[in-house]
Order: sequence, then C-alpha cells, then structure tokens
Amino acid sequence: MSTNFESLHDQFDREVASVSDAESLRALRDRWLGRKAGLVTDVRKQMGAVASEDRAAFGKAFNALQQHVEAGLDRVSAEIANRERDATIARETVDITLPGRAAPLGHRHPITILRQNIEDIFVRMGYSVEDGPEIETTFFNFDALNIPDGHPARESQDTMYVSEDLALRSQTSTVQIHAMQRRQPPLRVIAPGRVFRRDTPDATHNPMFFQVEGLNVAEGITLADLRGTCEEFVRQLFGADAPVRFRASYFPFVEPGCEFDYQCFVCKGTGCRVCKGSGWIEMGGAGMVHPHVLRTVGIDPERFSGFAFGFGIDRLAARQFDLDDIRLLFANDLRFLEQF
Amino acid sequence: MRISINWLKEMVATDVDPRGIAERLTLAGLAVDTIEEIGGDTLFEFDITSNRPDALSHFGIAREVAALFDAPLAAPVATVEESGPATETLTSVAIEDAELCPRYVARVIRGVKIGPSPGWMVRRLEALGQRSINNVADVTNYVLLEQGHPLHAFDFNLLGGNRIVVRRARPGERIVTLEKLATGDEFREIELRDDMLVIADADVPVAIAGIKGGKGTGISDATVDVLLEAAYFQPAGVRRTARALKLDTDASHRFERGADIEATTRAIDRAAALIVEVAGGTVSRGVVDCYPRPAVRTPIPLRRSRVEALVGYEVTFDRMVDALRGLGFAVEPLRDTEELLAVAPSYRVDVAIEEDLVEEVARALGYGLVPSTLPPWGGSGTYLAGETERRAVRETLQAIGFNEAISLSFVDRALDDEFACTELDRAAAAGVDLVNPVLDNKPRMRSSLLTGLVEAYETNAKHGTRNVRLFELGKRFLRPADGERPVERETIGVLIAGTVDDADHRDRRDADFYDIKGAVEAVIRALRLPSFTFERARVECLHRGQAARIVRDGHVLGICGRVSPELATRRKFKSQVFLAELALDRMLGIEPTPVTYRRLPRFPSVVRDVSILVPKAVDYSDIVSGVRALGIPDLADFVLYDIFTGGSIPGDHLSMTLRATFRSEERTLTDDEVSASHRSIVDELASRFGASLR
Repeated sequence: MSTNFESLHDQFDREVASVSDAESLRALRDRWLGRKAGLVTDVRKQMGAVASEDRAAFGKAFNALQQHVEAGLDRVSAEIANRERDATIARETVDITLPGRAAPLGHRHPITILRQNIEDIFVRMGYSVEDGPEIETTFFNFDALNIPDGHPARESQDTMYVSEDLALRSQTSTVQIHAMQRRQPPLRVIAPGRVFRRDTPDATHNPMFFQVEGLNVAEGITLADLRGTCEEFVRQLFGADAPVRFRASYFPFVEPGCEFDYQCFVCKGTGCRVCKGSGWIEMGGAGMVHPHVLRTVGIDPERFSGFAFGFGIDRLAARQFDLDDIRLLFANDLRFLEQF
Repeated sequence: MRISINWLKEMVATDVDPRGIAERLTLAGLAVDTIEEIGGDTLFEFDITSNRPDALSHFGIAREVAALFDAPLAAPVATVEESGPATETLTSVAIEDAELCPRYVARVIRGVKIGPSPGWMVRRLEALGQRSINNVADVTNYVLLEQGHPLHAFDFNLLGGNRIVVRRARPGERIVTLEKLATGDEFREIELRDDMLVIADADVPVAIAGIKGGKGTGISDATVDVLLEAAYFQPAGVRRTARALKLDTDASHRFERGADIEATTRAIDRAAALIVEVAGGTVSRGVVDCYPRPAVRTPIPLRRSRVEALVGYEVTFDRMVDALRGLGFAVEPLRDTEELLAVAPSYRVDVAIEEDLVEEVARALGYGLVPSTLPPWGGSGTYLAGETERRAVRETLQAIGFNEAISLSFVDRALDDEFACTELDRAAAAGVDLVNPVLDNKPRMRSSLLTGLVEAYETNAKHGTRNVRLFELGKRFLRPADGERPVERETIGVLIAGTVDDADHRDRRDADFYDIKGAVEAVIRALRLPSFTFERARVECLHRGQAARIVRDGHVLGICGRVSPELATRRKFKSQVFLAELALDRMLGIEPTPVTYRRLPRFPSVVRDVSILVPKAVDYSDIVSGVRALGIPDLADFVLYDIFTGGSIPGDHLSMTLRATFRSEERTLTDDEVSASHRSIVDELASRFGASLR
C-alpha cells in the first residue's frame, strides 16, 4: 500500500486554510496529529508495513509531512492569537482626547504669584520680609514718616480712619519704622502688604492695593546702591537687563527723593505701546531715608544712611498680565482667577 | 497746572524744543504729564508735587528752566507810573494776627473803567482754562498764572472806612462769598469760626484770607477805584480754614503750600501796571506794606563729603557751588573745609536742611549721573515667620481645586454681622467701623473672611458660575470689648458651593459637609497640626445639624459647616454653601508634629470588615473611640470603609462597613486570634451602640 504524500499535503493545505478560530484549529490539530486517530499518526503506523528498501524514503516523506502539518498549525495558531490580541486591543481602545482624570487644580491669585516672586528675589539678596499692622497709629503712618500735622497726605480725603489717632495704613513704609525700632543697622527689610487710600474704584484705582516697601540702612549706603538694587531686582523679576532711571520727586520720608522707572524691554527705550511711547515704565517711589525718620527711631544719620523704595504689586500685575480693569483683582470672579 | 510755552519763552531764552524741556523738567522733579500743541503754541500739563509751590506759575517754571539749561532769565517787567496822593493817605492796613498774616501789601488804583479785557489777555487766559470775567479781575488771574502769587481786587469805595483790617473772624460773623452755588445764581454764605482769618474793612469781613473774596466788595461794572491786595498767609491756617469750609481755590492751593513772601511787591506792581494798561486809571503813590515780621532765612551748611556720601559719586566743590547759585541760592563757600553756607531763595520754602541741598545739587547735576552699585552684605535674608506654612496651605488648597481669592478688607456691616462667630472670638469683640469709608455700603473692616467669600459666591452665581471653590488668607479685624485698639487676626476662609467633580467625567454630586471638612483636614495636615478634634457646634450663620468647631487643647482653631437655611433663604442662595474659617494665627503658634520614621511592619496584616446597622444618632467618632477603648493590642487600624443609606435600610438607621486591620509586631497572627478580636469588636458595637451585624 502506498501513501499519497502529495495529496495529504494538498488536503492539509486546503483544510488549514479554512480554519478561522481557536476552536476549529483545535479540531484540525486533533484530526491530523491526534494520538489515536490523527491522519499523520495513521501514516506513521503504516511505517511497519513499508518494505525495508523503501523505508528510508517513506520516513523522509513522513517527516516532511509531519513538519508541514506542525508548521501549518503553528502558523495559523499564531495568526489566530494575533487576531485575538488585536481584537482585545480594539475593544480596549479609549478616546485619548477625553480629558484626563484628576482633581482640578486651583490657582494662586496673581497678586500672590508676584508677591512670592518678589519675596524670593529679595530674600536671595539678603533682605528679611517683615510685616506690620494694617490699622496703624497716626504716629507710624504719618509722624514717624516725617508727614507732619497739616500735611495734605494726612487729610481724611486721602486716608481712612477708624478713630482720631488710628488709620488704615496708607503705605507699607510704616513697616520701616517698626523694623528700625526693633533692630539697629545694618538692616535690609522688605515689607509687602495691603494698603488703603480713599480712592473711588475705577479701572485704574482701588481703595485697597498691595505695596512692597524696601529698606536698606547701613554705613555708606548711597543712591548708587539704590539704583543697583533696583536694577538687580528688575533683572531677576523680568529675566532681562533693563536700566533704571531716577526722576526727582517728593516723598516726605526720603531726601533726596525720586521716582524710579525701568527701561521698557519691549522697545529697549525707543518707545512703543507698552511704555506709551516714553521708553520707560514707571515702577515706584524711592530715595535716601530722611534724617528726621532716622532720628525718630534713634539711628544716627551721620553714621548710617539708607535707601528706601516702594512700589505697587497691583500695578505690576496689571502690566504683567495686561489687565484692562484692576477692579478685577479683588472681584474674585472665577472666570478671572482661573486664568493664572 | 497748564503752562504755555510761548508765554514761558517770553521769560527764558532757550532753543531747546518743548519735548526736550519737558523731559529735563520731569527728570528734575517738575513732572510734565502731557504735551499738547494748540494754535501755534505748546501746552504742558504739570503734576507739581506739594513741596514745590514755587513752580506753580510761568515765571516759576521759567526760573527752573533757566537754571537747568543755564539760560538767561527775564522777570516780567512792571513799570508803575504813580501819581496823585500817597496811598497811605487813602487807606491803611492793620494786621491783628501777625502769626497768620506776616505781610500785607496794598495799592490803590483810582478811576478805572471796568469792561471786557483785551483780546490778547482773554486768549491767553482761556488757553490755560481760565474764563475771562472783567478787565480788573482778569489782571489778578493773569498775574497769578504769570508769577504764582495770588492777588485780590476790592472795590475800594465799598470798603467800610476805606481800610483793611486783617483779623480773626468774630463769633457768628458771616460772609457771602463770590462762590456761586451749584443750584443756580445764589452765592454761598458762610458762617465763620473764630480760628479763621479774614480780611475785614472797618466793620465786617470782606474776604476769607487767602481763600475767597466776599461778594459785597467784589469788582463790578460800577467799580471806579480798586484796592489791590498782595499778602502772605501762613500755610497751616489757610489749610485749616479751606478744609473746614470745603473750599479749594487757586489762591488757597498756593498759600497752603507756601507762597513767596518777597514776591508780594513784584506781583502787586505788575498787576497795578497791567490794570492801568487794560482798564485805565491812575496808581496812587507808593505801596502800603504792612510787614510786621520780616521773614528770616537761616543759612544751611552743606559739606561736600555729605553730598558724596548720599549720591554715591564724586562731585567737585565748584560744581556744588555753581549748581546752587544757578538755582538762586546765595552761597558762601568755605573752600578750606569744602563746606558752604547756602541761603535758599524766598520762593524755595521746601529747602530747610543739608539733605535738601544735597537733592538740589543732585537735581541740578542730573540724577542720570548716579552710578549703579550693589551694597556689600554679609547676612542672609529670611522670610516672615510662618511663610513656609502659609505657602503650604496655599499649595494644598490649590492642589484640591481651590482658587485663591483676595477681597477688599471693608465690608457691608449687616452682612459682616451675619458671620460674626461667637465660637471664634466675636463674643468678646465688636466690629471695627471706619470713620470715613470710601464706599458707603462697606463701612466696616471685616471681622470675618466669610463675608467677602460669600459675596464672591454671589457674584460668581450671578455670572452663571455655580461651582465655586474659593479660599482666602488675610486679616480680620476686631475691637476687643475692653476698648483697646483693634486687633488683627490672620485667618483662612474657605467656601464650597455647587457640584463636586470627584475627578470623574461621569460622576458628579452636590457638595456636602464632608467636602468642607475635607478641606479643613487638608489644611491641618499641611500644617502638620497634632491631635485636634471636630466637635458639634452652634454657629449662628451655620446649619444647626451641620456645624463643627475644630478644637485642640480646649482652644477653638476654627469652624466649618453649611450655611444655615435661614441665611441661605434670606440671601437667595441657589445652592447649598459650605464655609470654614480657621484661625491661622493660632495654628501657626502650635508646634507641628515632627517628621519621624517608623519601621515598616515585618509581619503580614489581616483585614476584617464589620458591616453593621446603626441608629443615625450614633456618632462615628464614638464608635471608633469605643472600639479603641477595648485596647485590642494588635488592632493596627480601625476606619470607616463604606456607608450606605436608603434601599432596605430603615430610615433612622444607616449601614456602615468598618475595616479592622490586625497586625502584630512580633509574629504572624493566627486566624483564631484575629477571629477572637473581631468578635469582641462586634460584641462591643452591639452592646454599646445597638448595632446589628449585617
């Protein structure tokens, strides 16, 4: 009896081609390789009946058949596994454009963002952050700052009072006095905080705003140190070099006094929309601490000198974030707060 | 203040263009706000600081320009042709209060014809915003704009006794001023106080000194003879009276800052000459100059070393001397010691001490010369005490979805009282009210941060933002019952309203008490505060069944809960609102739990759940402490796992699953040991809390 290997090959190829899933694959594997009745097993059983001179050829053909069947089954098995894996992946595919799942983050207030930045910069420069009461005696708010009785700044149209001798502080300069009373020079202090003026709210005014006061008292402090310090601060705050210029001005607690501007780094001083054509952006007021102020706190102005400066965080925020109405800063509108 | 460049250039010769002049003046402290070109002229709008009344006129600005640009200055010329009788035979001036009026100069011009001013004067006045009245009144305004010294013109024949008495008002005296009332043609009548200085004739006040003239003796079409006044009034007196009467005039503006006492004669001569030019008449001979206390100006010393010590660069002695002389100072140089003595010109009322002279030198040289240096320093900077904790609180609340609010510190009084919390400290304190609030509806310094947050919730709701999670760090203000000065307490306020996302796209729920409690717990964890408890509390603004106080060592650290239904209805809240107010100042005073390491467990733990049905009246904290009190040695943890109401659960009960974790530090626990402990827990729950096992 001769075995038609060729037709077995063909038959297997036909049958394996119709296999579509793991189930039919297992049936096909049993039909061909089954230990009892598999077609390949049957062929092997015929081996004994093959004439010895043909046995080698038969064996070779048998091995080829067996390898062909096993390879065919393995190939289809791999195909099915792949297909199933693909199906699983397809089933598990998600819309990766849906929003991620985490508690939504809140936002720091823009004033806080700037205030923390400013504190960090000055602490790096050796300054200590100090604070004082928001309701101040007229001594700290005025007298000690060389704003005598009768000075226009004391009038009730500028300052809010809670009693005859207690007012809402109208500048953080009050903290200068507290700091100098607590400690002797050398001292470096900044004082950020709320201040209050009797301004009716509009797009550019609030009756409450945030100021930063700076004070540096030691032997040999000069206007040049003030300028260098302002320039270093501007460089660290904006990450850009910008010269600072002084304009002479008047604040009762400094002499000489000035306002300080930094050069607009959008146009480098040539004039643009940001600086309203002037090339300079107003920052705040500054000067050398007035000898009356130093004497009031028991510091000898012949031995020590100091500079002081102050600027508004709100105005800085307004410029940094291009705010069109600074009343938004204290309206607590979430549509605003969530932008920072 | 407006300045015409054409007018200015009549007094100072310079080729510098208007922009160049504006920039130099601005850098030197006379700030030009705007520059406007109109009809062949350029107008500067100045913002003059209150220390520089000398710059409140064209001549004042011209003086400064002349100094800064080293340009020739020409003072306005006044050639008075006098004739007829001596002025002192026509009138007299008596100063009764030389403190308030150290100098009074008068002239008489007779035979004027009142009428309109000539065109050139009208145009000049109107370009600078001054309405033309009549030729004599216009001259006084013209000289004010030109020289800065306020003048007043009286109808000489209407002055009782034809004389001037400068005195304080008598009690009950009144004056009808030249000020028209807003309502129409009526003139304002003022009742004077006896601390107010007036110009009087022989009988009655005819002007409020340095502020406003009286109507009765004003220039009218019928005026023929004029008495001109050029005086100096003490700044504080003028300011006091002007404030008391709520009058702010061009004259008071200058007198209260300090006029030039020596400019009186120059101004009155100029005005007399101009009156003759535009209204005719003759000027009687001489002035009456009542100057009982001539001003004495003391020399101020200035050391070169002091200049350099403050400005931070080298200044030669000659440059100092030249700078001050250029600005009109009389300088006596002491070259050996490189010191000088400077007498300020009479118009520079702001220069009194050495440092003022330093500023003058620095201004004249230009602040641009100041170099840029960084001062040496050996110390290190520090943050405000508690800043690390403040930042931790902000970051924590931000991380769980809260936005930071900053509210105005002033609030509505009624709303503030709604949130007055006796649990915190309002029992012993009242609110702090402002004497002169800027916003009529917000006259109170907030005694609670909740006031502002609730207003923020309402504003956001109005804009359609329903889900609100806000916090604020700031001070509240209280007036202690003992009447001491107000205290300021650093506080955290938190508000939640609307739905909570629970970090899921599909699963939203309404916020409830446990959201606000969670926020409070997050803050406490951020501050690492040890051993605190939540206790039921009665808080006026909060729901009686959903209010808690946070207590540690008998001290209340804060409160939290849901806004009371009554308040919510009254304020028309659209959703439930949950609030917390925490005394940050007290929390910062508590020593935080130190960070320590505990060894990781070496033996496995066994978890057993207990599901029970308990009456709603039972507090979870009692269940936990009851079980803890059993003292089971290997009970490592005992916490709520799940809670369930509704369904088959009776309405007055709830189903609670509690998870007990058993673990020994010495060995692996046996099943029997765990079961025995578990049973004792179940028994305890059943006997103490009427819990039944599910």
